Order: sequence, then structure tokens, then C-alpha cells
Amino acid sequence: MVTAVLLVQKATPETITQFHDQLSNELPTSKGKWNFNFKIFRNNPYSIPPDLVETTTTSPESKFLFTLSPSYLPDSTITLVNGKSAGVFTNLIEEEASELSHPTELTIPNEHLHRGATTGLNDRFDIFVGQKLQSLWTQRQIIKGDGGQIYELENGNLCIKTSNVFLHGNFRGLLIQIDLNDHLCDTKNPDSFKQVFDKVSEKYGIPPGNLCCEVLDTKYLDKYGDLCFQYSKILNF
Amino acid sequence: MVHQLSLVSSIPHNKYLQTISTLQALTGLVQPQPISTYTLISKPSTVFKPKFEPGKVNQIEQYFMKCITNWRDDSIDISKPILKDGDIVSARRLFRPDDKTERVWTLQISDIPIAGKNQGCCQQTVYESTLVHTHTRIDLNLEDKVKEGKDDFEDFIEIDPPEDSEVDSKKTEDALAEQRRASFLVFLQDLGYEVINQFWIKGIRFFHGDIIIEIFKVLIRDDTTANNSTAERIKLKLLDESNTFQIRVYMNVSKSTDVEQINHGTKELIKLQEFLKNLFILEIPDRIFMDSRVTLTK
Repeated sequence: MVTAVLLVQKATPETITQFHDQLSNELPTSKGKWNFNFKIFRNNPYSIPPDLVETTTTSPESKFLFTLSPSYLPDSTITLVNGKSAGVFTNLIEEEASELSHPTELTIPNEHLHRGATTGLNDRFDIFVGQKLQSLWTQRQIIKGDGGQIYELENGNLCIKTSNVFLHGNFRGLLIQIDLNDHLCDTKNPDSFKQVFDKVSEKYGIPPGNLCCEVLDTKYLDKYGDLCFQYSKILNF
Repeated sequence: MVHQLSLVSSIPHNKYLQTISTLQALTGLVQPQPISTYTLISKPSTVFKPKFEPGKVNQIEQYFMKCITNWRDDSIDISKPILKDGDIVSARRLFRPDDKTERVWTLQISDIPIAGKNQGCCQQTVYESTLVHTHTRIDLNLEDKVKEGKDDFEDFIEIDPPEDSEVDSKKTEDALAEQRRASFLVFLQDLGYEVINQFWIKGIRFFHGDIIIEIFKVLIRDDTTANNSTAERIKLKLLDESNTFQIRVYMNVSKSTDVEQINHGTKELIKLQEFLKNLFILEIPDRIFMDSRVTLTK
């Protein structure tokens, strides 16, 4: 799966309904509602590299940690640290996931629980960072996506997700996430993605915005890490 | 968040069979569940130096963090004592260049157990989150820096040094980058933590109602004898060479605000303590030794 995300900042109720109408004309399969949480953490300036302790009182570096929890990945959080390291955390145990008939895409293997490596009562990673890593990372912003719709098109090869974006309760625009199946683009050449997504945007009348389809590493795609990276690019207010 | 109620004890090796039989009878569990974990102890790589202002209480602390994964090795039989001159006990190395399987790691930070007199059991809050996938961008231009970073890890984990032949250097570089791309340790480093120690746990556990009874031995890396570790495996030895078994009896409550459940759990643990007192004495561990805070440098 290759993704692109864009934010329509000047979205009005009219443009949003117009876009939904336009998509409905393409007869998509509605895959239900979704929402997301995106948190921005900054390094705690009082955490100083050991070699600079004597000379400075605050860290000269400025680093960011982002967490993204979309509801279509239940109980999971994607994180991106310092713009280069991505990780996926989940609270869902394999055997519980099948009981609850959740998607089993991201789960903790049963063995991990049975052999005693986890208590099985995990916290979300953003909560974990907010509670116990405050000396390293301090929370700056919470961005929420609400009232989202998922449309599946072209026999499931294309998925368009829309969501209204709120920053501290204020409406900041319409977020559109485009998921494309791998075989629709040349995964060996991420530079060509832009053209493909531009074509899709044109075809479905996606309003103009700051479309981002950049990836962390052009040689090795990683759908989760790249998605979080794209969110971090377009949601910097 | 887990609110954990616990009691601890230990038994000498020769009481193992008797203990197991008693617990089998008590719990009705003929086949106890085997537990085997590998834990890295890590600490923040930065120094936290908050500004001290009069009248302002600083609540932020730095914590040691445990990174736990399960350990797939059935070569150790804990019912047999591990002797110094006996068979070599070893664990498969995790961080090998040819190991492509993605490991799952649980990051865990626990609070210091709550203080107070006349407590029935030890109570502490444990926070954990499980990492199932990592991905890191490696810039090959920064290879020098990367190599430098590698040295820091070398004491604790065994990334086998790549073959240093000139012809293969490009290939090796790629392989090294590939290995680091999916590396949990690189993720940990970016998060701001560094590994300072490691240990292995091997044992069994019983379930009695909501109570979990764990009996285990702790193993550490054996560096005393000349290189008995191979490229494949790390030689291990017991942390406590007297072959004593550690026992931990605990119960997890999902909310620390659920007072009713906590009181009920405490009562259950005391009941069990009374019931097993002729077999082993369950005690409250000293909370000071369970402090996970990194002391601030002022």
C-alpha cells in the first residue's frame, strides 16, 4: 500500500459536502467512519547530552516525536522519532483480536504474552510517553480528526479517507488520505508517486492542498512509518 | 497501566519438586506454563537538569526502562541444577545479521511501590507498551557516525563485525544498513534510551484464580571464562549460583483507582501467603530496591 495525505486548509462546509457528493457519484463502497489522534511531542530542553552538561543549561537540539493513532488500526499507535525512526505499537493480543473480530494486521503474538514478556495490559504509546518519558519528551499539540468517512473505489485498489481536522477544538481543514494498492504505482521509484497521485486527484476532483507522498527512505518503503511521516509534514500548524 | 500487587519468596533447589507438586494440587494445573524472557535494562542517554525555582515543585523524573522480549530456547531444564562445571548453558544471539525475524518488544517502566505502614502486599503501578514493528531511515553518508554508534552497543549485544574486505565493503555497508534499518536498538537510541545491562529469566508459572505464581531463575551473561560464546550463542550463568529459585506471586489490576478490586486482591494474596507458609514464606519486598528512578544530578 502506498499512501498520500493532503490537508485542504480553506475547506468550507460547501466544499466538503461538494467533495462528498462528487465521490458518491463514483459509486464507492462505504467502509464506515473513522477518526484519528495525532500528537506532537518536543524534546525536553532540560534533558542534555552528557558531554554538554557542564557548559549549557538547555539542550541545543530540537527534536520531535509524533504519534498517530487512526481508528482503523484499533488499539495501535504509529510513532516517528526525530524524523527518521518509526515504530508501531499495539495493545491487541493475537488471540483477543480474533475473539473481538478486529483486523489482525497488527497484533502482539500469543507467545509474547504466554512466555511472560508482557502483562497483557498495555498502554497506548502516546500515553506511555506522556506519563513516563516526560523528562525526554514534552507534549506540544494534540490534533484530532473527527467525522471521517472511508470510501473504497476501483474494486478496492483505491481507498479515499476524509476527516475533519481540529487543533485544540478549532477546525483547521479537511484531511484527505489516499491509499493506493502497490501494483498501481512503481514501488521501486517513489519519485514517481507524485504523478500518480496527481492523476487520482484530478480524476476524483480532490480539492487542491499540500499533497504529501514523500517517504522516509526511498529505497525501503514502510507503509506505517511513511504514513506517520506524511501526517507530520502536512499537520504542522 | 497495570496496578500490580505482589509478594516474593525464594526456595532452595532441593525443595523444587515438593513445591511444584503442592502448587499443582493447589491450582489444579498439572502443566504449568513455561516462562522465558530476555530483558534489556536501559536508561536515558541524556542528563536531566531541570531549572530549580523556589516554590516550584518538579514532578518530572527520569526512569530506567525494561525492554522485554520472549526467549525461544528450550535447551535449559530448570528442574535440574545449573552447575559451574556442568553443561554449558547458552542462549541464541538475537542481534545477528542473518536473523530476519522481527522481534516484538515490550517497553516497561514501573513506579516505586507505594509507601505506608501495615501493608498487606507490595503495590506498584507498571506502565508498558508493546512495539511490534520498527523502521529507520539510514543515511549511508552518515556511515561513519553509524559505525561510531555501533561501538557503544558492542558490550551488550553482539552485532557481529562485518567482514572487513575492501571488495565487499559496499555490500557490507548495505548489509549493515539493512540490519540497522529494522533494528530495535536504533529506535531505542532515537527515543533517548541506552542499554546498560541484560538478563534472562527461565521458569514456570501457575494460575490460582486471578493470582499468578511464578517460579524462576535469573541468568546473566558469562564473561568469566575464556570465549565460550560462539557467533550463534551467548554463554550464560546463574545470577545466584546457589541455584535458588525466586518466587513471585502477583495479581494485576487494570485500574489503580479500582479500590474494591485492590482490596480484594490484597486479601486473596494474604490468604495464599497463610496457606503456603509451611512451604515458603511470602514477604513484601523492600520498596527502596524497587525504585526505578534515575537519581538527579544537582
